[in-house]
Amino acid sequence: MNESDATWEELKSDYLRQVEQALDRVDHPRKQDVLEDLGRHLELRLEELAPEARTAGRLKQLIEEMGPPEEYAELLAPDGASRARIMLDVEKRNQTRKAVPLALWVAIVALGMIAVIHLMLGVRAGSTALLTAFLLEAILTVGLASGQKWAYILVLVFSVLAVLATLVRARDFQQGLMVLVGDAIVLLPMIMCTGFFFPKRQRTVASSNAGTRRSTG
Amino acid sequence: MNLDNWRTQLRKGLLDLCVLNFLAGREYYGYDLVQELKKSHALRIREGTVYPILARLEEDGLVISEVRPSNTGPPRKYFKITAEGRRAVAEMNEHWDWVEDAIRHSMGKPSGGER
Repeated sequence: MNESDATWEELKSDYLRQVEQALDRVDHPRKQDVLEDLGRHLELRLEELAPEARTAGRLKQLIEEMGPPEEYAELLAPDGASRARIMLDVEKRNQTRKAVPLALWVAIVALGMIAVIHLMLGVRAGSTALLTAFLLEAILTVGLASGQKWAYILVLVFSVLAVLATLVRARDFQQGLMVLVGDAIVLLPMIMCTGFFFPKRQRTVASSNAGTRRSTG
Repeated sequence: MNLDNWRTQLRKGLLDLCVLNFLAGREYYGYDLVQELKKSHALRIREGTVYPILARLEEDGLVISEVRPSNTGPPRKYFKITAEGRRAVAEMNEHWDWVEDAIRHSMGKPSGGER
């Protein structure tokens, strides 16, 4: 390998590394294709340059003519919605996800209040069942407040079971109604918050067309 | 208003259309397509600009590619428009005509149909 070859390899790999870094910002399945295409293009550019013209300055100029590395990320994911594939947006979405919605706070407060009522009634009546219910509700309240999926699923299951049990077994209309109202205050906001616990994945044109891709080696 | 930024955004927005229009004419390998696009000075295209565009268009199913060996150098990756790509570019061209008419109208110049 002569001096100009070594210079070229160094310049080329340095440029491709910069492009790769720029493309790291983008979540696109064809990033590797872009890098391979650029490598191929650079080889063709070198081929058309006479050996005696391959000075360090001219080789550097060839690289500069390729354009700034940051531009590749911009061109690979330029259209507004699809740009959601850019990692920065993903991070933003994750941050939004962490913000607890108002409806969930309603459910948390309601569940917390039910737990306190069960505690008070359990202590007064010396009922193990009510104290167990308090303990379970307290754990679920903490789980919901910290955005745990298991807490969401368990609260939904227990609320539905409680509604069914009340409908089947309630002897006193007023007591049954109170239980149903309590469950509804927890259950309805929880249903509204399904997206918080199970956010929908964004589907893009690109992914829907993934099946049409053709391998290029 | 930053006119340079406006020009850059406009140019980038039109590159997809230009690339598809060239490919609607015949298949190109990347390097060849770059040289063709560079002839349109208004686009101010850089050597590498076309590859992320082609990658995106291929991912969207509008073009397909194939690497073929070359007798005169390294292998070349040829890009060809798909039927879906042809439909897309026809719609894009039609839309471009409307946009051009609207702009000419806003400038007080005769639109395409009146010229």
